[in-house]
Amino acid sequence: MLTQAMIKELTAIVGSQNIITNQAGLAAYGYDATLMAQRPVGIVFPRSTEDTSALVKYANQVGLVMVPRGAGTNLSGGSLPLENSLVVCLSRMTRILEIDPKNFTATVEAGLVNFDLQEALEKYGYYYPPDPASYKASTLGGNIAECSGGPRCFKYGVTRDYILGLEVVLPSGKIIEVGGKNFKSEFRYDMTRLLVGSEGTLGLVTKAILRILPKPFAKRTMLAIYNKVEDASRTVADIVAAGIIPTTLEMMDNLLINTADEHVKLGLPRDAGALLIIEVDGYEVDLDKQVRLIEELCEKADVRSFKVATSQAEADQLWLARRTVIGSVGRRRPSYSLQDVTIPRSTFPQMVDAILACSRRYDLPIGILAHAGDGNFHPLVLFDERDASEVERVHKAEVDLIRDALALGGTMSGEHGIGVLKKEYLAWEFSETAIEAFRKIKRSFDPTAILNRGKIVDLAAEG
Amino acid sequence: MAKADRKSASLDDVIKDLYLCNKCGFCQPACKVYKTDLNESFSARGRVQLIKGVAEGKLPVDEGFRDAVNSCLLCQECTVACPSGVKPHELVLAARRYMQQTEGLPLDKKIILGTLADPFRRKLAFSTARFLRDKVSNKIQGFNDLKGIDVRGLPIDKTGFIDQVPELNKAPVSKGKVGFFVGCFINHSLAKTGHAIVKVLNKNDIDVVVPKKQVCCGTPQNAYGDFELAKKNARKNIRLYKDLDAVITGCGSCGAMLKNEYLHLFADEPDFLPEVENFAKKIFDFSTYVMHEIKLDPQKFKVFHHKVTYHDGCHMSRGLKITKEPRDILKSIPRIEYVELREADRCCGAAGLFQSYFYEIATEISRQKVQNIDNTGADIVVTGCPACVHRIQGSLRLTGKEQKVVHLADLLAEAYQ
Amino acid sequence: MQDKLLEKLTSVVGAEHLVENPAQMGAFLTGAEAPLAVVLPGGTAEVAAVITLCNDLGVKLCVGGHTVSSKGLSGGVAMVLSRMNRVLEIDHENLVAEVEAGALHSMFQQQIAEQGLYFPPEPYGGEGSSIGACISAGDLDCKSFLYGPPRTYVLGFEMVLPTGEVLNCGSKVIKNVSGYDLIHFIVGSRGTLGVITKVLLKLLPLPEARRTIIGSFASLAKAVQVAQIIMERKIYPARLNLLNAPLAGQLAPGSGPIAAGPQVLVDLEGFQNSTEHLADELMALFRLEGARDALCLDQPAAIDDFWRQWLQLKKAYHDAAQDRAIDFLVGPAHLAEALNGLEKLVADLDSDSGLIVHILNGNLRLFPSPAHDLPALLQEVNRLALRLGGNLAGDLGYRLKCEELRENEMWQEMVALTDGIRSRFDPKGILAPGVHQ
Repeated sequence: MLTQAMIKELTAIVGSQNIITNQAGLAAYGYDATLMAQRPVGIVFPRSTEDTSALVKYANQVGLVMVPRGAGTNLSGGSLPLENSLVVCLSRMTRILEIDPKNFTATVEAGLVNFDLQEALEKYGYYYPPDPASYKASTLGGNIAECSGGPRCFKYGVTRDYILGLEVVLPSGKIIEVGGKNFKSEFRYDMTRLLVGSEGTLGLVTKAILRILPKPFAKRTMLAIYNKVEDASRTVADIVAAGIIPTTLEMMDNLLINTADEHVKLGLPRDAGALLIIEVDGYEVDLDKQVRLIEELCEKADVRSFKVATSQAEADQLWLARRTVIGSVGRRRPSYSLQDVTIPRSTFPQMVDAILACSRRYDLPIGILAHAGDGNFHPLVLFDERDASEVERVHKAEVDLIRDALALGGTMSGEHGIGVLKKEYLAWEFSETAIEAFRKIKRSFDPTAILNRGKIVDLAAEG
Repeated sequence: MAKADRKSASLDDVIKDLYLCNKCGFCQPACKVYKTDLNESFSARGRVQLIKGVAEGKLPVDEGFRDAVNSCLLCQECTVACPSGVKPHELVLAARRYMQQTEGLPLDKKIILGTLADPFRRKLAFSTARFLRDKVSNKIQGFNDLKGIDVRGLPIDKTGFIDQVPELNKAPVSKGKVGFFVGCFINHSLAKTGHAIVKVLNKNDIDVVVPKKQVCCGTPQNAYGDFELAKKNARKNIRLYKDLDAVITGCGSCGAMLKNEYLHLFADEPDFLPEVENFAKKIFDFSTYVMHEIKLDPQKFKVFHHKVTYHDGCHMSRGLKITKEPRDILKSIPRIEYVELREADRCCGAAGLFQSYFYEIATEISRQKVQNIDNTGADIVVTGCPACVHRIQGSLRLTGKEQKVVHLADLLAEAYQ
Repeated sequence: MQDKLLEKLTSVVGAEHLVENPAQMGAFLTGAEAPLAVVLPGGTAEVAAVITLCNDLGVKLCVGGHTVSSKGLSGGVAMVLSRMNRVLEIDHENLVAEVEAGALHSMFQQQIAEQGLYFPPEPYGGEGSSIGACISAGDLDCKSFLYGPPRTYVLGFEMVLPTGEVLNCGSKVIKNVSGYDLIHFIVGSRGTLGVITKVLLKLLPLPEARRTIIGSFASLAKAVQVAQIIMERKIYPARLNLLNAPLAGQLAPGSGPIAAGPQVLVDLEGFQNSTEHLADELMALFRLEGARDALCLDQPAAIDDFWRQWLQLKKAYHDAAQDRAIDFLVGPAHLAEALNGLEKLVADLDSDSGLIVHILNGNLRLFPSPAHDLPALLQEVNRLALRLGGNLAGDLGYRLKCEELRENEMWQEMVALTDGIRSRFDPKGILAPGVHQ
C-alpha cells in the first residue's frame, strides 16, 4: 500500500493528473495479455525523463519496487506488477522528437505506439521494420524491452537490429545515454544490445533512436493453401533450403484459418489444412523470378492453390487476418495459452508433429501459427480458464512444448521474453554458468532489484 | 454472443462474454478515449476487465468504476476491432444498466434523460436553453466556451420543426409516401435540416408524413441503462408509424436506435417482437433512401463549386453500417471537389452526454477532428448526424476556423434545383 | 612462481605449443611489452585450464587469433587460438555455420562461398584476422548498412569465462530473446569478459550477381555529391565508399590504375536483373556527372581482386597510422558538411592525409599527416562531429562527447557501470589488460 505521504510525494513529481490510486485503476493496471493478474499499489505516468528520474530516486528512498509498463500487451508477464509494486507507465510519453530520413533515424519517446510512428514515417516513404502483431497497440518502449519480433524478421531482423541508441533512467535514478544516432557510438560495451530485451529489469528506457528504412520499391504477397499442414511445412523447409529469403513466411493451420476468416471474412477455404502467407520485396525486376521459384516449390509440396495478391488492398486483408488471428481464437474457446518457442528451421516439420502430438496427448485444441521462416511457433492452446482440470492440462502441454522445442535445439522464447511466465524453465535452456552470468548483469545495474523484481532471474538475496 | 439482457439487473448474463476477452489489447488503438487519455481504465479492454471484476465480486462499484464505464463513447470501434468477437460497447451498456438498477442514476442524469424522453419537458428545456443563450450567456465572460461546447453558437429554433410543418407534406406529383422520424436535434435546433429532408423527398415525388406525436427515440435513456423509459418511448414510436411503409431518419443515432436497438430492447417480449421487427425493416437513413429507394436523379443537380469532406458519425458508420451512400451522393454532385477525411469514422467527441461529463477528453478528441478537417482543405464538412454537426461546428468556431458543417440533406437541398 | 606457472601451462598445452623464447614470441605479438609465454591451446578444455591457472595465480592473460596485443601483458600470458581453426559445421538447411574462434575470417568466407553461402562482415584486420577477432572487435564495416554489423550474424557462442567456467549461449535459431542478450552483448567486448572459443554464425545465400563500379572525379566535393545522388536514388549497394586521391591512386582495378582523383567505389550485390540494371544506371550517372574515368568490373575474379586490394590498403593505412587514425560518424546526409569542416581543419584533405568515407554509414576515417597535432585535431573533429549530430567512434568519442557537453555524471555512471560488469565477470582483472585503459 502507498501511504498518504508517498502519494503526496509522487503527486508532487508527476502532477495529480498522472497518478492513479483508486481500486478500479489498480485493477486496470494489474494485468497484461497473459492470464496472470496482480494489482499494483499505484500507477504513475511520468511525462518526461526528468519525471522518471525523480520517480525512481524517490522509489529508492522509500524502497518501492517499480514495474515499467507501456501498453500492457505483453505476452510473458514482463510488464505485470508483482506484489507491492508501483507501475511506472510510460504510455503518456508519446512524442516523436525527430524524424531524420536522410540519416535513416527517428528519435522517439518510449510511450509512442509503434503504429503511430509508422504512420508518421509513411509521409517520408520510410518505415520502421519491426512490426509485432500488436504494433497498433504496443509501445516502442515495450517493443524494446521485449525485443519484439514480427512477421518481417525473416529478412529484416528484430527490434535489436533497429535500435541505435537509448536514453535510460537507471535503477538508481541516474540518466545515461547509450549508443547514439550513428553506429559505433557505444562506450566500451554494446549496452544498447544488453538493454534491448532486458524486459525493464536493467533500466527504464525513456527515449530511443531508431533506425528507419525507405519502403521497398516493390513487393509480392502470395497465399498458398494446402490440404495438409505437413505439406505446408515441407514448403517452408524447401524455401529456406533453396536460399530464398522472403520478407515473411507465415503459417496458419486449419483451426486458425477458420477463426481468422470468421473475423476478417476473406472467404478462405474452411477445410484447408494450412496456409502460408509469403511475401518477397526488393527491386521490381527481380520479383517475378522469385515468385515463380516459390510457386514451383509450393507445387512440389502439393499445394492446393497458389495465388499472388493483385492489389495492395488484397494483401492488406491477408495481413489483417494474420495480425488479428491470435485474438480471433476467442471465437472457439475463451482462453488461450500462447507460446513463442523457436526451433532451427530445418526441424520445422518435427515441431509441427510435436504440437499435433501434444494436442492429442492432452485432448486440447492447439492452433498452429508460425513465423515459419524464423522457425518461430505460436502454438495456441485453447481452453476455458474456469475449468480447473483443463487449466492443469494446459500447463502440462505448455511444459511439453517447451521441452520439445529445446530438444530440437531451439529456444523457449523467440520474441516474447521470459518475464514471469517462463522463468521457472530457465534452467532447462541455460546452464548455471549462464544464469549466473545473467545475475551478474542484473547486479551490475540493479543490485537491490528495485526495478521489475522477479522477472527473468531472481537475485539470490531476494529470496 | 448473447445479447446483453435489457431487463436483468445482474451481470451474470454477460459473464460468458466477459471471459471472451483475452486481453490482447488490440482494441486500444480503436478507443479514441484511450488514445487521448492513455489511461487503461478508460480503454475498451480496461472497461471489460473492470466489469468482469465487478461481475465476479472482486471489485466494488465505486467512482473509479463509474468513470470507466461512463467514459465510453459507445462509438463501437472496439467492437469492430476485437478479433475475439467481444462487443465491449454492449458490455458497457450492461454495466450501465447494472448501475442504474442497483444504485440508480445520479440526479442530473435522471433529469436530463427524463426531460429528453418527454416532448413537453423537452420543448420547455430547449426554450429555456435558448433564453439563457440569448439573454444570459453574452453577459457572462467565458460562457461562450462552456466545457468545450460553443454555447453562444448553439442553434436552437424558436419553434420546433414538428410544429413548423403540417402532418402531411405533399409532393407536387406524388409517387409514394414516407414517414419522417425527426429526432430531438433536428426538431429543436436544426429545423432547416428537417425542411431540407422534406424538400429533397418532395422534389423526388415523395409525400412526407411528420407525425406530431413522435417522441425521443430513446438513445440517451438506453445509453445510460434506463431501459424502461427507452422502451416506453419505443412503444409509442412503433405504434405511431404503424401504417407507413417507410420511415426516414436524418440522424445516425436515431436510425441505429430504431433499426437495431429496439430489437435488443424487446428481445424479452416475444409477443411484441414481430411488430418491432416489422418496424425495424422500414427504417431508412435519408442517404440510403434517396440513393436506393428513390434513385435520386442526378440530372437535377446544379453545379456546386465547393471542396467538401465527409465525417462518418459513429452510429451511422458502425451502427447502421452506412459509409458508401453519403460519399457516392456527394461525389455525384457536378463539380464538387470531394476529399476524404483522415480518421473520418472516428468519433467527433460529442457522444451524447459524454461531452459534458468528460469535457477535457471530449475537447481533445474534437481538436483532433478539427485538425484532420483543417488538413483536408475542405470548406464544407458534411455529415449525417445532427449531434456531430453541432459538435464539429462548435469546435471549429471555438478554434477560430471558418469551415461550415452541414447535414447531407442541407447540401443536397442546396444543390438540388 | 614463474617456473611453476610455465610448468603447469606446459602440462596443459604440451611443450610444443608453448613459446617462451622472446625472439620466437615476437611472431605472435604486437606491442612492446613482453609476456612470460605464448600458449597455443588445442581446444576449449585447454583454454579453460589455462585461464583457470592464470586466474588462480592472478596472472594477466590476453588472447588473439594469430597475434596478440601485448599491452599491459608484462609478466602475463598471451594466448593464440590459431590451432583452434576448424569450421565445425556448415548447415545448409538452417544457413548456419559453427566455427572455432581461431579460424581465419577470409578463409572461412572462401570456404562457404564455394558452397554458395555468404558471411558478409569484412575481415577486421585483413587476411590474417580470425573469426574470433571479428566477433570480439565487433567493428562496423562498410557493408554494415546493407547487411548489418557483425553482431547480426552471431547466433551463439562458447566462451571460457575469466573464472574458468565454460559459458554456452544461443543455438541455431535466428530469433532468440531468452534471458539477457549475452549473445550479442559479447560482440565487441574485446576479450574483456571471456575467451570466445566457438561461434555459431548466421549465413546468407551468396548473392546471385555482383558488379563493382569505380569512378574518379575532379574533386572530393564532386565525389561526395555523386555518392549522395546514389543514395537519393535509393540505391544502397553492399559498399559505397569514397577515397581521397592519395588513397585512390594506390588501387589498380581491372587492368590498371584509372585517372587520378578522388574515387567513388560501389559494390553491388543482389539479384541478376537489378544488379545489371543498377550497374548500367551508375555507369551512366558517373559519366553524366563528369567522372574523369568510370569502370565497371563484372568478372568475379576481378571484383574479388579489387576488394582484396582495398582491404589491404585500408589495413596498411591503419597499421601505419597506429593510434593516429581519426574515426568519426556524422550520418550520410552530413558528409558534405563534414568534409567542408574537415578541409578547414587539415587543409590538405586531398593530398597529404588519407581519407576513407563509408558513405552509407556516414562514417569518415582520416589518417592525418604527421604534421598535425593529434589531440588538438581530435578536439576539433569532435566538435565538428557533435555539431552535425555525430560523434567520434567508440570509447574516445563517448569520453570527448561527455567532456564537451559537460555530462560528468553520465560519464562517471557509464564508467562505473561498465567497470562493474567487467569486474563481476573477471573479479581478479586478469583478461585483456590493455583494453578500456
